[in-house]
Amino acid sequence: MLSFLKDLLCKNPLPNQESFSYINMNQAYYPACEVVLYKNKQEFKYTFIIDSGADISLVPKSIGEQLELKKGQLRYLGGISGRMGYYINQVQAEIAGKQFKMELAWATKDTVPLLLGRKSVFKNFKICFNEKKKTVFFS
Amino acid sequence: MLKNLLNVFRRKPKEPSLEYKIFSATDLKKFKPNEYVLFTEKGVYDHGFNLKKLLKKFEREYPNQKPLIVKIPPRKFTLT
Repeated sequence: MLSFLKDLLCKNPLPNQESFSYINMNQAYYPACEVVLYKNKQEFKYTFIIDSGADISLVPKSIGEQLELKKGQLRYLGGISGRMGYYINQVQAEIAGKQFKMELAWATKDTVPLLLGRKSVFKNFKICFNEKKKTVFFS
Repeated sequence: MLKNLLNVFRRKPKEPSLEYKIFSATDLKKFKPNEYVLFTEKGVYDHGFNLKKLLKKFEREYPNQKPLIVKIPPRKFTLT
């Protein structure tokens, strides 16, 4: 019964939901969404790839410069592309019409994609991935 | 109660912006890895590796608009 309801909700989005279609890159489909980030009352629109396996959201060097992010304590993370430095920042964000404070890792490299991680993001939404329809729902 | 529930499902959910719709329908193969692409309501505005330059050019042409900024992931990018 519960799985039937879950299935029903994924197939039929609710009115307070916003759906984003997956993007086709490098011959594969990735879940993505539109994120609005605010800085000094200015808004900037980006497309983030949703990475439910990532702890924190990540932006490349150029994006951080555009948002005038602060260089605090330099931290390092290890990933498939090797060791990389980053600075932690907090920005006002908006996804599917919902505003919240988002923790962001500003990478010291520009060769990283924009990734939407779990921390400070996932707790604000119910996120449903429909792999069959290549769509992700935020509610 | 069932009627109310059905009405909830009949209502249309919110839709993403026009720029996002254009972006998701665009073939991204023509762009290079790590490139920035700016989308407007009319389509692809421009693409390149220098985001600062791209945005300055955009602001000069459309001072009251904000583009959707997309970054093409690196060649060997994978989520797994």
